Amino acid sequence: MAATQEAQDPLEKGAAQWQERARGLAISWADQLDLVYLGVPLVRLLEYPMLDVINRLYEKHHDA
Amino acid sequence: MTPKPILALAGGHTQKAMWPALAEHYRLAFLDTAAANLAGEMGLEGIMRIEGFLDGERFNQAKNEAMWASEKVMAALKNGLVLDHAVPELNSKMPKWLPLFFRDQAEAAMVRLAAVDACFAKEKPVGVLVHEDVTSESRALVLYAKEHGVPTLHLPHANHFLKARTTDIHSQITAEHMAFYGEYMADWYGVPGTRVGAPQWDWLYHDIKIPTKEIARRGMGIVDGTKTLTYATTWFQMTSVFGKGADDLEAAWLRMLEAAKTLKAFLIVKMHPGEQANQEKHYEEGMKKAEVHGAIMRQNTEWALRAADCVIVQGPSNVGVEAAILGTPVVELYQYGARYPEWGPSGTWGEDLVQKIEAATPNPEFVRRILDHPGEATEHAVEWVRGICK
Repeated sequence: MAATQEAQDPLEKGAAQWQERARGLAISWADQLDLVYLGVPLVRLLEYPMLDVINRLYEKHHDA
Repeated sequence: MTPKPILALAGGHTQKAMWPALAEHYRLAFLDTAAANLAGEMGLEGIMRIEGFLDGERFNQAKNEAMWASEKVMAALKNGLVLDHAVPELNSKMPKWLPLFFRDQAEAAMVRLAAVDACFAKEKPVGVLVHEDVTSESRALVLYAKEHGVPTLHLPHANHFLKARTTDIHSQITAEHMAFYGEYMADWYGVPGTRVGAPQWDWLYHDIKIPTKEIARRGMGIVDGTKTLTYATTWFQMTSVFGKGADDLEAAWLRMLEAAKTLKAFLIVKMHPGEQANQEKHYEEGMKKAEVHGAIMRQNTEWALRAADCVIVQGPSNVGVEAAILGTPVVELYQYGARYPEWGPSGTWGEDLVQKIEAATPNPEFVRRILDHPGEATEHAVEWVRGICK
């Protein structure tokens, strides 16, 4: 695709195909585990690093 | 005399400008110990470290609970816990990474929560202020406070120049009360909030603290009349995945070098704080190979922005807003997945970078739509906090 065309509609270009799925999985992986401490769901605290890990796994898988 | 109430803060440096004014009304309890130490060095009174409330008993209790939570995850793995039914190869690898990842992350998070619990039990804060809403640290404060009926406030540490209403993690809102820099940020989040400006940029309006262009250039050894470009780098985060990641950044860097060489420019590489230390060497080698003269720096951004005839940002960086505040023209070198709004700086994928640099002009409209209360945001932000945390 020409650079000028990309510039007109840039925000969603190049998004990894698994991105939305990874975003959901970063929370849903522990749906059945009831991981709560002092009233706080641990999965919400771990979402950011988990998202990083899952994206790396998917990227590696898709590059392989 | 009634003691000041306690305000709990995550401790982001973008809110540092607010600390002295907040300390006049509150005793500040910081989750980030380095921030607490810095606040102490600034001479502020009544500074507390939230981790300082953690005694041995609570610490051990949190570690034990973390062990039991890890056991729960291990048991789930043995019973066939699946990450993604559609990708069996990933599921089979889970036992190799999940146990250690979970144990380390959960233990740190639970010890932190125990410290917050101890602090809140003893000091009963009247509010929580965070600068981001994604990391384990900030969420521990916000989620715990919400669970205990303590007001939670979020003044973001940066604009996210992503698609509005994106599902990117940075668009998630956990805190109850939001404040924004101005029109753009309020529209981006799309929720009610208060437009207070950006306290961390107030000082850019106080000229006495900013070097003139002439002094900045002399200080960096730039020969008079030399075209000077500042390249604000970025780093690749894996919370979103666009394009080819680090390869895209390297391609853009080569474009930057090519443009600097064509323009016979002095190139200041202003590194992103998140970049690894060995990147400095990488930039140095690139400049030597391309025979481009210049400097590489991580701190003192204002010198790099003031000395430049044009600032080239790798992706839509908040450094570009700082440059625009100082009246320095900005060009965006595009990267996938993020973009300044159409009324922001002009941009390119790189093939016409030289022409974009030469045509770039200051953009006060960009600043106006990004930032309310220029130079006076600290006052407005503190007022916002005081209106809620009583």
